[in-house]
Amino acid sequence: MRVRKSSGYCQLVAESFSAYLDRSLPASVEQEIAAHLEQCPECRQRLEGVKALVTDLKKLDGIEAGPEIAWSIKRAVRRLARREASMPSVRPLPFITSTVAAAILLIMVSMPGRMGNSPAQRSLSASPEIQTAQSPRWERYVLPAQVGEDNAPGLFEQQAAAQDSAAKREPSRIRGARAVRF
Amino acid sequence: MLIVTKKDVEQADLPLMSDEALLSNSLEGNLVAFDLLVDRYYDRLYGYLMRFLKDSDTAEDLLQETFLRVWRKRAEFKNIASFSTWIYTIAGNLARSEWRRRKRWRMLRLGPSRSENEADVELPDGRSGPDRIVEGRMAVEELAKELQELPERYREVVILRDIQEMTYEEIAGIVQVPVGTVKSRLNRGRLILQDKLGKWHEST
Ligand SMILES: [Zn+2]
Repeated sequence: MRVRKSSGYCQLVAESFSAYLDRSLPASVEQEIAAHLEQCPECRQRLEGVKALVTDLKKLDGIEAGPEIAWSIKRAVRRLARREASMPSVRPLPFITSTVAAAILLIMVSMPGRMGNSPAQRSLSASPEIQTAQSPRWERYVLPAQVGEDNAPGLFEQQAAAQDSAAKREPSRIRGARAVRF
Repeated sequence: MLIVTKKDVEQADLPLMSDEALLSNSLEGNLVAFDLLVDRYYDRLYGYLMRFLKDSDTAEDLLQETFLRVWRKRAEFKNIASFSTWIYTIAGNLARSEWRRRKRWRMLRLGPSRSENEADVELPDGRSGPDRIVEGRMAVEELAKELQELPERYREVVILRDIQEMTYEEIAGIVQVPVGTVKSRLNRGRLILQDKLGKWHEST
């Protein structure tokens, strides 16, 4: 077999190194490369280098994350799962809806007795302390509680989200600063 | 593949399940099933992210973000690929965009550096002479450092093949290029690395 040698041909051989090492080339090509390698110390050296490199790269495996990292991932997934579960669009929280309905019903029931006074809506929005003075006793207990409860899921959700995003934002801010130095 | 319906499965059977079955168990909020997926993948993915980015804080952040994305998108997983391919693709996409973000930062601060330019990457830079290598540990560090300098499209393939020992087909699925492209990128990446590190490989 005639052995070809030129820098262009050497480059062509180098481009087949991985396939040559995998032994996935057609037999005729493999023989041609083997013949070239025998004649060409540069290519031989380069191929030996690639083989050594592949061996060395394996030593880069086995970085261990450590169990704390797994734990913090699991905690983060749980936070996310809780937030998802408390999202009204995902689960409409039927008991809240029914208590709000009950509250509206109560207001409507209270209306006739307060017709001459002030609209019941005002007791929902503004200064309940002033209103409680004239409100029937049950209303004092029920109405502010209903308003509070209606707000509650939103507040908790925001809190959870704030905690979560604070926990997430903190490291990324540090990371941003570090990236500048890279 | 193992097909398991969620209801008739005991928690005790979970460790024996395939990744895909665990994911489908987690669809209805089974966190124990999801925990097992975390246990199976966090170390491997961390290694991948660390070799790609060489920064443990970022690798940890991106590792967590990978699993959160898997959780959020768990209903979207269709068995078109294996779970393994899917989660690696998510991690790889995060790593690449993080890498590009850093690159932009560097460009803004320093202007294009030599290693940014792919044409220059192939030139040995003379910094990696044998005298720099005192012992094996240092050689490994040097190799890890040079790996960072490799353009990302070669780097990810070298990491997945030569460090994580995946098949060409798996890598093609993760990187989303044909198998032939994986092979040529692998060869090119190895040659670039070898030509930079050639001096000390001769001596070992
Ligand atoms: Zn040659």
